[in-house]
Amino acid sequence: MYSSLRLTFCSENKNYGKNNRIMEKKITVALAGNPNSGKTTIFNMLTGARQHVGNYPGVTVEKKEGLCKYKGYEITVVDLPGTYSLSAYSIEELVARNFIIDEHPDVVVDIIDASNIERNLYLATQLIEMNVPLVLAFNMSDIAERRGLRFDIEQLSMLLEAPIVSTVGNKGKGKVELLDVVVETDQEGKIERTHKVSYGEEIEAELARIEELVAGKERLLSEKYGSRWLAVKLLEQDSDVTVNVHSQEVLDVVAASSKHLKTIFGEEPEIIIADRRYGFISGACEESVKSSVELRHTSSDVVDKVILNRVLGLPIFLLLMYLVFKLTFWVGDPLMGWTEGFFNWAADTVAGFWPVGAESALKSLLVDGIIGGVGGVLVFLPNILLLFLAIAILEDSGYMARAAFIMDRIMHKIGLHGKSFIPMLIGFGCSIPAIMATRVLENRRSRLTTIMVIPLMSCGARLPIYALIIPAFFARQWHGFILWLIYMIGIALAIICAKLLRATLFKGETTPFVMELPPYRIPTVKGTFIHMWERAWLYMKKAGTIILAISIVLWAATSYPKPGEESLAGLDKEQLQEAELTHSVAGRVGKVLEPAIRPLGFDWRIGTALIGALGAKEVFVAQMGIVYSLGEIDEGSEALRAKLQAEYSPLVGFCIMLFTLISAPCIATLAICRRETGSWGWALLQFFGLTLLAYVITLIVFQLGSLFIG
Amino acid sequence: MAVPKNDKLSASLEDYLEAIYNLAVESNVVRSKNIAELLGVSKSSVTGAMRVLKKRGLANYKPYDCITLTESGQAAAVEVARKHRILKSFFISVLGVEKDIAQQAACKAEHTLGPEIITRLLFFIEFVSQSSENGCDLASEFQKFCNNKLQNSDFSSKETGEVDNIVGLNEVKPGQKARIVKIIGRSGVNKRIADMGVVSGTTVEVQRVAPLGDPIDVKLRGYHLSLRKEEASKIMVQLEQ
Repeated sequence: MYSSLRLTFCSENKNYGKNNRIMEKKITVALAGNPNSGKTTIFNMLTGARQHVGNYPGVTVEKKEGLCKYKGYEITVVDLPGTYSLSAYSIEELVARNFIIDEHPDVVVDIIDASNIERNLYLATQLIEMNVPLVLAFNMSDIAERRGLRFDIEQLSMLLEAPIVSTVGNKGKGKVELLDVVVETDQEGKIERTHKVSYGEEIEAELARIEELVAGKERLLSEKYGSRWLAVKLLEQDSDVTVNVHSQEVLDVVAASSKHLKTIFGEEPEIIIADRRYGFISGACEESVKSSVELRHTSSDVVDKVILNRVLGLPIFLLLMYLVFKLTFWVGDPLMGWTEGFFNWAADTVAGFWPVGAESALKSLLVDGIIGGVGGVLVFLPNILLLFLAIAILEDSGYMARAAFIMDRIMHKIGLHGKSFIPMLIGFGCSIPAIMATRVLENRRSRLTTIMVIPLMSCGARLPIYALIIPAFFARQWHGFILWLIYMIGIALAIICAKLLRATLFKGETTPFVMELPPYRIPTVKGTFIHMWERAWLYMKKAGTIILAISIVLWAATSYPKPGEESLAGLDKEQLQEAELTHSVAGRVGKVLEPAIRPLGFDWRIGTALIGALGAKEVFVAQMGIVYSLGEIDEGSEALRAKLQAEYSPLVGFCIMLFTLISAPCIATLAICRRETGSWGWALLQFFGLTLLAYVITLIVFQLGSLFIG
Repeated sequence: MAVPKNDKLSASLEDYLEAIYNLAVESNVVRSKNIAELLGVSKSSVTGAMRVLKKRGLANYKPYDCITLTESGQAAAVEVARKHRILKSFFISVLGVEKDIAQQAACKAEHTLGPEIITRLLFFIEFVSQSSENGCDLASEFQKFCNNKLQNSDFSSKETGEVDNIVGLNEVKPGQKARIVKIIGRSGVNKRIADMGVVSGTTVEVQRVAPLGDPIDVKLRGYHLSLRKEEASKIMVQLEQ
């Protein structure tokens, strides 16, 4: 869709551009750059709030687009994924590369961390090679200056044949200059480059041979990519390009060339090619970058001396994680009370539209179904927001990479990646953003394994269940321990399942851990809040769409069909509710399920509530309230606790928690799992696999427990 | 064995000449069997070599007869033997190397060093022995110097260490600097590592090992990169002193 839009822009320009100057000209700008180069801050600086987040077609890589009006130009800014290179190594790199090749952006702006120029220019050498209209933004130039780096911008710009603009994204510096240069570069169009990256005599000879051959044999490809770029990629053994080559002769020549080069250099051609690119960069920098102060250790290095200390590293990590949870629940709880108050007020107000005592299906739908259901989820919004805020701060400050560094040994042992740790941590808040956060994982096997086990990280929505059950069955001094135990069981099961999955379904090589540890930065308020909001929005969208729908369905299932008027005669209000529920779809399903869940210690009431928990885990609490004819209740309800105590043993209480912890994640998680894995197969496997696991474990615990406790 | 086009004799032919010369001095009669014994080669190789020497007019040889050197063969053999003596005495008296080692080294060096070097070496031996007569014993001073060196550092291992000092990056200790020599193997990871600036000639400094002992933190090109030891083992580096 995007490309067709662009085509119309172009034709418009051709038709009206010359005659009608008043007509707004449209420019598409692609932002490329290394991760941590401040690309997002530049994107935010250019586009402000006019952003649109979507996906690149076919892959789960986020595509951010924004609009910027400048001097009569309408500039569409596309934020490419942050990459170090443009190889076929990861989806991100492929997406970025294909966008540039297929969509022909008018200008590519490469955001370069000026304080770390050599590695950042590596991407630029490849953009130069692709011969795109290129602008280099030397971002964070203030930090570079503080580190004593002086750039001869004019000379560097001449050597790289691209205009260079100094920017400081988080302070909004350089915006106008950058936009001016972008407009200028767009008008210039493609330039013929004279300073090409030279790969040295031997490689150039092979490249020339391949270039000539592909120009004849693979005409379409060399037209699309340019024969030199194609030749370089073939010699690099780029998988994405190689599969498109049909001529066996080309493949044979490439294989012979790379073998020949390997004998000469003793290293693989792609390594030598990378080597030469860095050589080109060193050459350019030698002439135009001066370092006035020899800084042995940056302040970031000093911080790392403590934070990544062999002895202190782990305790600091654990402390920080503890603080994250403390913040989420201590600060969050009072806020949660207010949210709850708001929804109660909303329910009362809506109920007030009907005369007292009057029964109406619409009223019931609005109050019990919609406000009750959605409100029950949104009550956690403060906690979730705080958790996401804490995670955004840890991410933006650069600590998350350190957390992955510290945790990798353990994660690697269970067949995962240090980076899997971050999504799993978010999983304690909500599985939905957690599953989305697995996008940072480059390897599909690691990613799928992580997605599969994330629901075992006890999410915030299960907390109300624990909060109801624990005080009902256990003595006060054991409360903390039981809660801790439940969380630990989840973590332990996640570890076991991950290990099992990696040994069976997702067998294969482990993902390498080649990761930059970016310098620490003080997160900006704006950046952190945007980051937090993006995740929270997903959670709220879930509440607004899936949970809303499911609330209505569940409400209907618990309210219909209604029993006949005569059978209700003479019952009081509570008995009436119970009778209605028993007669409803949910009640009947619960009864049907009873024989199956009996061995777990559950009766039909718990069965009914578990069905409700499919929509959203916390619905379990509300359902139990209805089953016991207590009307509107929450997890603080003493009346419900008394009923539970009377009906069930502590063992059953524990089994309820165990089952809700392990069993099928909520429907929203199922939906997001389907979207992120791209198939219903994985989502259903997760759904039924976990439910089966929950059944087996709860069965064992209940049966053994009954033997011992009696 | 092909006959060399130029006049220069190959190393093995010189060895044969030398052997005939030495055997003739000892016992007057030289047979292929004796040569084969002395040089530790098979009789057929001796026969082959004798044919070549005969073709080049250096030796008189008929199958089953004794072998003698021609005039020019004699001269060439004397020259080789002279070189051998000079080198051997240089190794023993100046460098202070053991006799056996000196003998072996001389056998190899006699074929490769040209007359200029040999003459200079001869002068050098004279120079050293003269200076010792003048009361300044350079040879024994040098011996002391060598012993000192050998004691202070494990020199003999370091000498070969030029090559051995190349280790995997995973073996480099925190705080130590190393220069990248090469990356071994073809894989996506290695390509990524190279893309991140880990290419030959780059200096890296290992910063630390993670608290749990696995990934390592390496500083290069002004930034920090973390990799598992497994991946680091594919990167060969030379330690910097």
